[in-house]
Amino acid sequence: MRRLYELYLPRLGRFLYRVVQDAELIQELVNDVMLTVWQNAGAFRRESTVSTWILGIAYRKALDALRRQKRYSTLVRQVPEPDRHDDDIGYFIAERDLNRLLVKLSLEQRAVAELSFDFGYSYPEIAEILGVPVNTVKTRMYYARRTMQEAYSSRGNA
Amino acid sequence: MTDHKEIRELIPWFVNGTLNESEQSLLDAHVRECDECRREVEDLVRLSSKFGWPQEVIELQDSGRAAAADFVEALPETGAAGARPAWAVPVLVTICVAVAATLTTMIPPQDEFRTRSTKPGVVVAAPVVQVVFQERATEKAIRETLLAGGNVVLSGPSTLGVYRVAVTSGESDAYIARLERNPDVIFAEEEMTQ
Repeated sequence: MRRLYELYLPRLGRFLYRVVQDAELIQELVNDVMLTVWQNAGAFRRESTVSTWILGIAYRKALDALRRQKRYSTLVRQVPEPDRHDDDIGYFIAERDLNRLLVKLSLEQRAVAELSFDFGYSYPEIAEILGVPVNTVKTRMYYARRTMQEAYSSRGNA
Repeated sequence: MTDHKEIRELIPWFVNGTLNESEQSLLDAHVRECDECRREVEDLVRLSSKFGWPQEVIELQDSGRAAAADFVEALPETGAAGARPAWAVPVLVTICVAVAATLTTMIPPQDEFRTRSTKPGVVVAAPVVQVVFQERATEKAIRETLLAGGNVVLSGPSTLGVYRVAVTSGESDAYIARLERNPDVIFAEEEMTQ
């Protein structure tokens, strides 16, 4: 239990920050996920790794909460368009700009991008965390990439 | 699997280095020959590098580990609810709130909380307690518990069942102690100020 809390509490916060991007909701979800982990740790069957188990709980709770509150439109409204125009997508995507692109994605697509590029999970591991087939993971990543590229292109042509 | 489209779908995980050996070899060979996929790899390498984290979060990891280490020192090895010491939940949630509070400072601030009767520009100064009830608790019981002593419910229940209550007497410790003796209450803890 000691290692579990040491390792995964901060990672959980990072995951939710990127995927949810809603201050009030993050605080509630961190509390709720860690309580669930604590209450169910005895029933954890080691059929998956601890990290995939915890992040899977976090993902499902975030998804449920956002669906109930229908906050998708709020997320987009909170993040204004950047002013800068650039030809280089890598340069364009500074941290704040990255968040502006991420909010154009669905929560499901953001989760795939975050788990791939920040957490460094393989696509089978991501499929396990999200509870979906591997082909769904690939499809979500495909549309996430396309959405971000379109967002960038529309700015470049503005 | 030699189809260009199928190979291209794997590029994100080629970039993060998690493909299996056969997939990795396939991608290695394909990217050498395909300009389109090579550009895709270059784009994704740049994109993935932007998923790093600012200093606040790195520091948060250290503080989170230290707080968590203190907390779990006395925990039993099982996480079964029945073995949980009485103080565990409040302490755990305090740690979680501390971590979340640091994260939330990185997000544009929300509106300040006010009651419906609060005049414009006046912010509630009373200590705020977060309360969560058992699912079995009736609305009447919840209302009577929260509003005892003239307290004001600022918000709730949230999507996760959290009520935020302004303790108008300022005696939040006594209020929390009463809540903790109430079998309908799962959690009661003073909200951390940021």
